[in-house]
Amino acid sequence: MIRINLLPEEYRRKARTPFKMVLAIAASTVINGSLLATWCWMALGVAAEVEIERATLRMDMDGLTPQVAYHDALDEEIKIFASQEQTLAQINMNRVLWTEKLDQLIDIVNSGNEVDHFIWFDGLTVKQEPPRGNSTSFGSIKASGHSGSPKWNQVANFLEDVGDTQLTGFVNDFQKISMPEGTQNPPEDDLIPSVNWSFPLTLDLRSPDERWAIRQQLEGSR
Amino acid sequence: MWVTIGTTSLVLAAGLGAAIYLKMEQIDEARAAVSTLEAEIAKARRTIEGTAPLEREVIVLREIAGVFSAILPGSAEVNNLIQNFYTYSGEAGVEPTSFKPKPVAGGRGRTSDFDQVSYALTLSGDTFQFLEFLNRIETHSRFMAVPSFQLTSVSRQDMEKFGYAKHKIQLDVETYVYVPQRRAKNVSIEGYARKRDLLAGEINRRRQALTLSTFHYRGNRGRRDPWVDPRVPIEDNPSGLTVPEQNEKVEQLIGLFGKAVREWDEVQGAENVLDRMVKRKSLIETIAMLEDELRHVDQEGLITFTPAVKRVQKEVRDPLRVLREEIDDQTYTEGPSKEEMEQVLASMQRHIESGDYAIAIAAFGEIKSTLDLVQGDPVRMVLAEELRVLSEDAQILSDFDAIEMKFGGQALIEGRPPAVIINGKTLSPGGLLDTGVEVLAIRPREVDFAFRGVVLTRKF
Repeated sequence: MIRINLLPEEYRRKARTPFKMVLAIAASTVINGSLLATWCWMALGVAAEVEIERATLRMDMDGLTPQVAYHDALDEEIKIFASQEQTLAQINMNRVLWTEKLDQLIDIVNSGNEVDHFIWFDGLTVKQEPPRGNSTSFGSIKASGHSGSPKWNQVANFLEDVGDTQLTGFVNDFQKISMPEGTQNPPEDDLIPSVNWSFPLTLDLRSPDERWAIRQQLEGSR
Repeated sequence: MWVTIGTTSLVLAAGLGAAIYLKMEQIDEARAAVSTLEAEIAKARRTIEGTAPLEREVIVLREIAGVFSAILPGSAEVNNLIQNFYTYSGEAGVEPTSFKPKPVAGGRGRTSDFDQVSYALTLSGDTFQFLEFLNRIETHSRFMAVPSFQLTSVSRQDMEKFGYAKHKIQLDVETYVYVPQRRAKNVSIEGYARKRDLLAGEINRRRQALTLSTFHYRGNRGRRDPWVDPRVPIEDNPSGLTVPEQNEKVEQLIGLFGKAVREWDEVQGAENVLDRMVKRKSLIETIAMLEDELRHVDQEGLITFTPAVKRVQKEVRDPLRVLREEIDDQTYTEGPSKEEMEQVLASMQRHIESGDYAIAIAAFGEIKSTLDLVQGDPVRMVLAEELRVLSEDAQILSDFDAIEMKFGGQALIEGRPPAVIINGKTLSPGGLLDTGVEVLAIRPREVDFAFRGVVLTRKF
C-alpha cells in the first residue's frame, strides 16, 4: 500500500531522518569511534610504551656488548693456554724419575748386608705404557733376581724391604709387588756362597694420577 | 542511503579493525623483541659476572706460559739432544754404541701443541755410570723422559776379563717440542700489573705444578752394584774377606789416593816455600801410608775379588805410580831458588831465636838434599853454606837443650874458685859435666859451657 500525504506543505510534519537510520548511523559511529579510539590507544599508548622499553633495552645491550666481547676474547685466550698447560702437566705427571727408583732399589739390595738377604740381578726391564684392554697396569719393572743363601726365606726378606716405605720410597710408585717365589739353582761349589735361589721381581706402576697424588702427599707431609 | 551508510560504516570498521590488527601484530613483534633483548641482556649479565675470574685465569696462564717454552725445546734445539747425549756419556763414563731416532708409536707424534721426539740409545757401562747418565738426562733443564729401558748384566767371564762391569743398556729417551698451533691474541687487561701482583701466590703454585721434578743422585756411595754377580771364587780367597768387605777396602785405598792427589794439588798451589814444605811433608806421609796399605793388601791377600783387584790396579796402583813420577819430576831439578833459600834461612833464624830448634832443623831437612844442586851458582852457594852452618848450630843448640841439668846450688866465694852443683855433681871452671860438656865460667844462677866448640850459657 502506498500512502500519499495530501496535506498542504505548511501542515505537513517536518521531514525527519528516520529513527532507524539515526540509530544505525549512531551505532556505526560508536563502533567506528571505538575502533578508532582502540587504534589510537594501541598506537600511541601500548606500542609507544613497548618501543620505549625496547629502546631502553637496546641501549643496555649496546653497553653490555663490548663487555661480552671482552669476556669472549678472554675465553678464547684461556682455551689456547689451558690446553697447553693441561698437556704439559700431563706429560710431566707421566714421567717417572728412574734414577731415583734405581737408586732406591740399590739401597734396598745393599741394606741386606749379606745377612738379611744377599741379592743380585741378571737383568732389568722397565717399561712405561698406557694400559691396554682391561689392564690397569701403566707399565712395570721386571728383574730376574738371585738370592745367595741356602736360606730361601731371604727372598721374602728382600721383598719385605722392597715394600718397606720407612727404608725407601721405592714402592710408592708401584701398585703391586710379585708374590715371593724361588727356584734353587744347582750348587756351584767353587763359589762363595755356593747355593743361590732364582726369583722374579715384578712391580706394576700406578697410574700417573695416583703417583702424582702420592708425591704431593709426601711433599706436603715434609 | 542505507546502503551508503552501511557500506561506509562497514568499510570504516573493517579498515580500523585491520589497522588495529596490524598494530597488535606490530606490538607483539616489539614485545617479542623486548623479550629477546631481555633474555640477551640477562645472558650478557650472567656472562659478564664470570669475567673477573676469567680475567684472573688469563693473567695466571699468561704468566706461566713462559714455562712451556722454558721446559720444552724448540725445533732447532732438538739437534742439541745428540750433543747432550755425547756430553753426558763422557761425563758419566758410559760407552754409547748406537743412537737413532725412534718412530713414535702409531705415527701419533703430535699432542696438541707438542711434537713428541723419541730416540733409542744403546750403551755399556756399570750401573752407577748408567745412573749418572740417566740422572743427567732426567735433570736436564729441558724436559726429557726415559719411558723404557733394558739392562742386561755383564757375564761373570766378561767381568773377570775386563775387571769392571760393562752392562748392555738399551733405553728410549723422549722429549716434546713446543710448536704452538694457535697463537693466543693477548687481550688488553686494565690494571694488568696490579692484578698480576695480587695473583702471585696462585701463579707460583701453578708454575710449581709444571716445574720438572728432579732427583739429586749422590753416586755410588760405597754400594755394591746389584747387577754384578758378587760371589767369590773359593780358592782365591785366603783372607776370607767377603766381597763387600773387599769393596770397602778398595774404597779406603781409593779414598787415601784421593787424599794424596788433593795434597799434591795443594803443594803445587802453595803460596811460599815453607807452606809447600809443610804440605809436601803431609803428602809424603799420605803416600807412605798408602804404600804400606798396598803392601799389607798384597801380603795378606786381602783383595781377591777380580773386579776389586782390577779396580785397585786401575784406580790406585797405576795412578799412584804416575803421581810418584810427577812428584819426582817436579822436585827441585835445579835446586831451590835464591828466594826460597832466603825464606828458609829467615825461617830457621826465627825459629832458633825463639828456641824452636827442631822446627829449624826440619825446615833445613826439607831443602838439604837439594843444596848440592846449587853448585856453580856463587850467590846460592853462599846461602847454602849459611843454611848448613845454621843447621849445625840448631842441631848443637837442640842437643845441648836436650841435656838435662838439675841445679843443686852454687858457691861464689872471693879468693876461691867458684863452684856449682849440677845433677848432684860439684863443678868448677874446667870441670866436665858429661862427655863434651865443660864448665867455662860460673856467675850467679848462670853457667857458661863449652859444647862442641861453642860457648853456651844455661840460666838456672
